[in-house]
Amino acid sequence: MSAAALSPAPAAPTRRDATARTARRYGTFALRRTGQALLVVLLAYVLVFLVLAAIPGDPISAQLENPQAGYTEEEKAQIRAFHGLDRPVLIQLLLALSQAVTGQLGTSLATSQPVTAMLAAAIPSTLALALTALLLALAIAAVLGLASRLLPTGRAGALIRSLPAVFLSTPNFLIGLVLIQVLAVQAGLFSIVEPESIGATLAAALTLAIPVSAQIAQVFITALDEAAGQDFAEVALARGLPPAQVVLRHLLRPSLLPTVTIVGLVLGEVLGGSLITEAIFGRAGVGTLVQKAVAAQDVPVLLAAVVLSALVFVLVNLVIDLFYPLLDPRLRGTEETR
Amino acid sequence: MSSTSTSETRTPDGGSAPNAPLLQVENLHVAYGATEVVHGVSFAVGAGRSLALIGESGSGKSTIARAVLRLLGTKDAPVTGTIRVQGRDVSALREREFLPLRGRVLGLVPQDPGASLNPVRSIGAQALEAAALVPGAHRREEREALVTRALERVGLPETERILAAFPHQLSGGQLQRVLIALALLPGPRLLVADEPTSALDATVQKQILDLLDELRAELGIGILLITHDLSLAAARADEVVVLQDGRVQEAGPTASVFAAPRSPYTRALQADVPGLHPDRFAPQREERDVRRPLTGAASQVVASQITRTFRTRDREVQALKGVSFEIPRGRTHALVGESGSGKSTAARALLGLEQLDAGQLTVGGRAVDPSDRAGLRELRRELQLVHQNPFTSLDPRWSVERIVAEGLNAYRVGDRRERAERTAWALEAVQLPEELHRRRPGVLSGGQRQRVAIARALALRPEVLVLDEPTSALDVTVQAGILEVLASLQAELGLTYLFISHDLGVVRQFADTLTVLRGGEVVESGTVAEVFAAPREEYTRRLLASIPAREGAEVPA
Amino acid sequence: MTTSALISPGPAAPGPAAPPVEASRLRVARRPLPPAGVLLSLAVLVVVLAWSLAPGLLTRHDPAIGIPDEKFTAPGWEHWLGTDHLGRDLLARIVHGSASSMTSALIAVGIGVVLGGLLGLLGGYLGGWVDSVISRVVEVLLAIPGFLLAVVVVTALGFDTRNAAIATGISAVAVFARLMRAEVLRVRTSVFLEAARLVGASPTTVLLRHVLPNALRPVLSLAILQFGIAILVIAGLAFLGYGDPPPASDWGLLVSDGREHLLHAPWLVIAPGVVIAVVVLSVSRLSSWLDQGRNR
Repeated sequence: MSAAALSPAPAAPTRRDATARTARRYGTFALRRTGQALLVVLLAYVLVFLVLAAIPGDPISAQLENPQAGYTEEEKAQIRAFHGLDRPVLIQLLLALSQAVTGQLGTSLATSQPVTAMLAAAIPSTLALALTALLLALAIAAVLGLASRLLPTGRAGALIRSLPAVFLSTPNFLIGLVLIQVLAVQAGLFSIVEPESIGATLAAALTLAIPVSAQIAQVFITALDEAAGQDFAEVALARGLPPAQVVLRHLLRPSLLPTVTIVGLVLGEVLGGSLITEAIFGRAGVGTLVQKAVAAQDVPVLLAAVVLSALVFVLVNLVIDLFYPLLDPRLRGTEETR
Repeated sequence: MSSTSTSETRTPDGGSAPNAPLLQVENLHVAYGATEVVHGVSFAVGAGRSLALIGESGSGKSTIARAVLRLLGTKDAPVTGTIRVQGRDVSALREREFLPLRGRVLGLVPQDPGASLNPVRSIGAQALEAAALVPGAHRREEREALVTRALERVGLPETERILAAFPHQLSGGQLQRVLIALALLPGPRLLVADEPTSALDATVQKQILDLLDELRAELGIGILLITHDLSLAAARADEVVVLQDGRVQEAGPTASVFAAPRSPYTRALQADVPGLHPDRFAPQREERDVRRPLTGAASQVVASQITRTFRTRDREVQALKGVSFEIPRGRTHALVGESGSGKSTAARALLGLEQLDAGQLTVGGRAVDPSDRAGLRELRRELQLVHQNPFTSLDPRWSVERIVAEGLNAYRVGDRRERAERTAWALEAVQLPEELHRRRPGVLSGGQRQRVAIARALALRPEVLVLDEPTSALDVTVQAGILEVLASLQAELGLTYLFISHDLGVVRQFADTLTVLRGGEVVESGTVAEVFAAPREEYTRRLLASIPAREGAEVPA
Repeated sequence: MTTSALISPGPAAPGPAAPPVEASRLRVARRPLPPAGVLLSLAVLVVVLAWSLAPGLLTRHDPAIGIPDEKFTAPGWEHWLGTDHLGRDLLARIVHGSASSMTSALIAVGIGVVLGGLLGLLGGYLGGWVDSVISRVVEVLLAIPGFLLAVVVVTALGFDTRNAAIATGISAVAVFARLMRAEVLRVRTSVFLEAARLVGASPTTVLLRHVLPNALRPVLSLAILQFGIAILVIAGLAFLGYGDPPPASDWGLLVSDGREHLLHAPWLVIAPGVVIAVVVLSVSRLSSWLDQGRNR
């Protein structure tokens, strides 16, 4: 039993005091959450590094040991030392980490290019894809969610409620290939030869958006249903508010909190899913970079791409966390509740 | 409105037919799916009158209220019968035609004020939204003035602070006043009050009920009061309708129904209201006094100067401040108070579930020490607890027998056969039908579950039972059954009870001595007879006055 | 991966508060047949199970040896789902690939449930520094997008279907750990645990007989759902070529093989893709039905 449960209604201190204290608490809360987020990214780097260190062999060694390449022992040692391959794994980790913190991500084992340059070249394509996909997913989810509440119940409602599960069960490579077949080949709406064109980007984004929208829609619909079952919704209806307005004014805001949370979480699906989507549509983004790095056992590139995804994921979710108090007044001025 | 209505009794919108009651319900049937839950209910409420629908859980009273306000999904819950509002048949109206009646003619005062306002929007935003539905309130200033006036009317003068607040920042009583104010805004003719005070403390309950009475007298509003509380209905309603399983058992003017109940159900219901029958358990207690007269021996339970403070980051709450009481062997002592009075903390401390900052608790001469695990384990063979809510205190995945036997197995009492016998004995002592012994709690009613919880506590044959509001989650008829079992067990086994309660009516029936707590301090203590006859403290007097039963008791029973 | 969110909701019917006894008696008296959709889902899963256990009995064609003359035959009476570029019967290949797809999804879920469940149980029940450490590990696992994590792990382990299954399982550990921890925390505050302690139950009894059984049910319902998700993830890995190489006929690999012939033989992509979708949909329908049953 908490003390708060025993106390009577909160005493009302002066408004200014309360606001100052709330702001101070929010400051500490924000700082601590940011610290936690950065720690998580750091640990993710360590984890991925260690997992990838388990790969037997690497392209450099394979090349060096090839007798036809004709490297001298001295040259071999030099090249190994350049890539840091001659040291124990833990030292390699510490070195790589200390450089990564300053933004130096090393050199590709496969192409000998700086990893940062390769990422910089790939990011715009993925960014365009991911943002478009997220916007499309939000739009689809919003339509499905509102339709589930505003349309009369019955066959149409049941159909709308069953759509997310169907969307979610369909493999995105199937969606992508069918879209190419129908939209590009048969309807000629875009050309597969120009993967970065607007039409192709939209089709790729739709491929990515469909399963993602399903997750958002499911959470949104459930949250709306839950809000609709609350006393305040019934009381608002009894007060004479038209049903559609009850949905818009009373159900929407309480439903945003879980929905925003899921939007942050599905970002992971967008980033992960871009791997397959980029492969299908032939886009030169981070996903394709990852795929090439996997094929070439190019550890620095793979590591950098994966940790970058984790960084984006963690930062976006951090921002969402920090926004909660705006959405729910009950979270203002109180300690984090998780 | 539309001219498609064929109703003959239809009157122009807003006007009322002379002599027609505000609300007239005839032969109402409601079904949930294939199961009919309301069977042919009829009643009428006049202007400035109040009618109470009385019934226990499952009686259909809330369903009727929702049918009147048309808040039941028409597809899931088909409603048949006639509902007339101001003489106009509204049962055939389409949704769009019914909308203007909601709020403007029929208002709702909900059951749980804490859940009835949107938690993420300020009171001001919701109040202005409600004011915007008032015909003629076009400008923002007009709406603000309406809201301010309504809030002042319901006894919330600090309107600015209230409007700026979010629901979680106000108390239950304040929220209920806000909700009444919002319901009043469009000037409704009838308020449906669905258990308007069951979520509130006793003293606040009285204030809210008084407010509703005033509004009825002043504005001529009719009130349809939904309640499970017979004494509340007796005190506040002109007429009552007693419901059981969706059927009207009895209806008529309050005075005559309570003076001479005709149906057996009403008689039984009335007999079970604690406030009306202070001597309900007198036979069991007389038997006890004969079989186990009070000896001069040391008290079974002693609390001396117990003190407990909860600390959070920015404040301290003193849950107990130097509280003392004693319970003689084989008797019942009640700790009485409203929420936050410290009564539950005292009970938990006695069980060793809560550390004390100062003071001492002894049971049978042994001190309770939460840090001494072995000592606590020994102590709990002698001292058991019955929790407040039987819907959460039983593991849903265990059978009744297994639940009751758990303590016997844990303490390795006797052999297998002996444990089975003890389990059967405990279940028989609480009169739980044998066919339920192998079932899980999910199929049991609240009363049956609480009997299981008591049997679990009894199985170890303890000397002392702590009863933490053991009937507050149950209907009155069920409550009476549970209390009767407990009273008989005391006579038979000589059990000592520490009885935690907020209900003074039950305390008068059930306890020998009591301590009244407020904010962690003892306000008053003594024998039940003394305190009820002559309360010395103002707070106790207010508590006593807040039991509707005492006013209801004036009605000859 | 936020699979806990996937449990698809039925329309919220804030049903009548019928008295508990009556309601439960009704439930005992006539246990209603599951809805048609659920029965259909069950039928689908039974068929796939049969395919996995006895593929040879259910198709007349050989999945590995084709008839070159019949290559690229469109779906028809002889070849229900058509043939591929070597004239192999597509249905036969799907049927023979199902065992591998099912087993690997099972392995993935097993890893997720056991590892994740254990982590969540320990963290939730012990609390303190154990919980802090476990929670950080789970956060790190959650921070790496699930599919990427699976790709990293399968890269480290080597490309074959078994390793893809293990990688998928590891990427699901965090989801299970989080749900199990939340459930344990929920159950841990239950009044009935306090009641059990008061009648003398030991901490082990409380953990194994009260906490675990009550926390496990939602985790098992997630496991069923996760089975469907694992099929998708493993198919995705196979599609990218991280599973067994051809002539294996894992479902994802079939779609990948069919890609080259998308223009003139679209059934090579669509048939295995639709099979995956139908199986996953059936699994999720079943899971949500079981979940509703629990809440009812």
